[in-house]
Amino acid sequence: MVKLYALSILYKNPTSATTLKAAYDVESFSFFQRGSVKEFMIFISKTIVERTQSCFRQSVKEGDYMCHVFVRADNLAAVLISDHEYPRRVAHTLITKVMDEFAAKYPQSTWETLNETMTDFAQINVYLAKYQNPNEADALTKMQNDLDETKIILHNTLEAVLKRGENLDELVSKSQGLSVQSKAFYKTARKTNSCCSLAP
Amino acid sequence: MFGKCNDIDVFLEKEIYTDLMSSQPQFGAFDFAPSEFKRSRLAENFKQYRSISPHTSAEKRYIVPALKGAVRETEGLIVCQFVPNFPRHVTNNSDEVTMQDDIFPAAEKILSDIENVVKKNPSLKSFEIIPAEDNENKSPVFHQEDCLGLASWCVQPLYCYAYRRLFELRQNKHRREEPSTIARWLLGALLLNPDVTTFWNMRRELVRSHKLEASEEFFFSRLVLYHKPKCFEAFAYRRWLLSYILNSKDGHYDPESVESPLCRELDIATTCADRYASNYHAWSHRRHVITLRESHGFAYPTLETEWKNSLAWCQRHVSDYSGLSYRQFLLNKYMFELKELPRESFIKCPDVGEQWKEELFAYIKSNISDTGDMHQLQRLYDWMNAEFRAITSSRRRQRQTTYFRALSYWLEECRANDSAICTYNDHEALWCHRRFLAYLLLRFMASNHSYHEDERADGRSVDESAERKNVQKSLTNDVTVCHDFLVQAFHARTNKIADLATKRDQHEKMLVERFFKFLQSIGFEIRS
Repeated sequence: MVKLYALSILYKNPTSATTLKAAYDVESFSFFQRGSVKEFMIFISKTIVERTQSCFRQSVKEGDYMCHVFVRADNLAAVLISDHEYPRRVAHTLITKVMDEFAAKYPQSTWETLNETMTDFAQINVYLAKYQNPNEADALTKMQNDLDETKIILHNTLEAVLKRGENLDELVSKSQGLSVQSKAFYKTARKTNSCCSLAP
Repeated sequence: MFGKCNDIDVFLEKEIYTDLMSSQPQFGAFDFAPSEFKRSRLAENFKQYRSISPHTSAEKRYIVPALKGAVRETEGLIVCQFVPNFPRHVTNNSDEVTMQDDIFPAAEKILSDIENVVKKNPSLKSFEIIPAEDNENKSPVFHQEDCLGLASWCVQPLYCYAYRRLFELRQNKHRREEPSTIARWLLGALLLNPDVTTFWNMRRELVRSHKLEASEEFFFSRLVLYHKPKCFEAFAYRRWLLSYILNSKDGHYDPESVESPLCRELDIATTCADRYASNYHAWSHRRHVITLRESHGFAYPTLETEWKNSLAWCQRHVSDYSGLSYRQFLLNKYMFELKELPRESFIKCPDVGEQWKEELFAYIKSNISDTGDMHQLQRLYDWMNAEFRAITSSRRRQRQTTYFRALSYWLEECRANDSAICTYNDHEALWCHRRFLAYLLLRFMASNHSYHEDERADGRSVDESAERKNVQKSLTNDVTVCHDFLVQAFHARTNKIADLATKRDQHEKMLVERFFKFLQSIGFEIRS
């Protein structure tokens, strides 16, 4: 399915990442899973930003999902979680664009102290909705087609992004952002061999 | 406490399923608060085995393998003994009974909870299993915002319970149960595991004997399909229900009504296809519904909306061939079988025939670069228009329109395929679909040659004027030229996107090569 699930803007501190603003589309998941799916998307976004060097673009595949990330030189980062069919180029165009707009609204000096509830950036929801159809969205951004697709680093699993000695199961069980319910979801999903992907 | 054998006699404070606890004797609990499910199961087991070997003052032991422990009864007080690493067969006293694992006292309560939700909320839309390792002394049935959830801990015992009851009943012909009880067991068993044909057959029997309403059955099987979107048995059951209501004596359906039962089927097929990739069962259900629509003469769902909706679905699921194969089914139907039926929009807007023609020529034009060809194409276009105006017979006019209508479907699909291949890298499904489009074009051209010949023969037999025959001949000629152009345009377009594809992806390059091999094998070439 060509679909976007989450778009978030984060600030990468030296030790951790904080979410500045995020938008989610979890309607396609079954009702009782939605909360956990959302928690997981927050968790994954943070984890992945913390493990991406600045000035790097990455696209990480995990099961049927794809996680696109870009950390700018000034440590502003954005993550887009989509289906694996979603065109990579469009995904990276979107996160670049969203960050530009965010930086125009909030200057760099404020990022360190901002948090998600304080930020007023409703635009992000509009982007998430508009880019659900890459064809339409692409027409709008045709002008800035200068993105070099070969610069995107591709990974086939989430584990490939983790640092040496880390593994996902451990990170999940240690995480404080995930509820007991979500961890149970994760375990079940692992058991049925469909990765952490919160498969519906 | 897990180290050695423990004897604990603490009394229970409270039970949720109190009905199980109402009878004496008092019941000992465990110091590490075992799950309510375990406790209630223990209680039930205990009651049962007490009735087997009546209460005596002498001490008795019951071994409960499922609980890794034993229950001891001394003078009305029951003491539970828990042994870690409990051996499977422990022999303590002579009169010990090994308890079975299949008794789940909470089952009836849970089943009726589920049944209540299903019966009382007509807008319920989903059922799912919620992963939960322990029951935390809560009811496993969740009902929020028209969604029903069941905690995973009770799935296995609940299913085993329902399964055993149903098969006991099925195997013992003399046993009678209330139909409502059977329906409740079936509800539980089928929600959890819908792949058992026997259970669906039992439901069919209940519907036939008017113990269950067909409309409620549609509702119930929809829930099942939400949980297991690829369940063939559930689709088969719905098909059976459809034929049951359509053929029943009292059920009369207005074929012109927008609220046709078939529209609902299409909705469900879409949801199922969304929830499970490559769900061919959902699409074959859809095919069945479209066939039913024809045989029963329903006006709704219209073929036009079906065409649009399935295209929209395919554009959202670019690598799912199941949807594309359904499109192929529709294309076949619309291009070859519906010769005499105009597209529905044609009725509303007579100019649409012109529009199809123009679109087709625009497509050819945009893919041809040679100026000589361009001039020839323009001539052909003017000629066709002039001729169309000159034709007076409405039947022949209709034929030309039919010809362009058929091609308009092909063209629309071809355009969608072009743009999908351009937007999405490396999807084999898209290239396979393109093969079909090439093949279909060839077939269409072949059938249209013979079609016009038929017409000529037809004309001769009714002895029409020589002039008219000439016109027909020229029309046949035009058609050939038009076909050549179309093939050329398709080729040019294919080459263009093949170039793009080969450059961007190594794997896709292989797909493209295979595609061209296929074209050769079916003899798709430009005639000069």
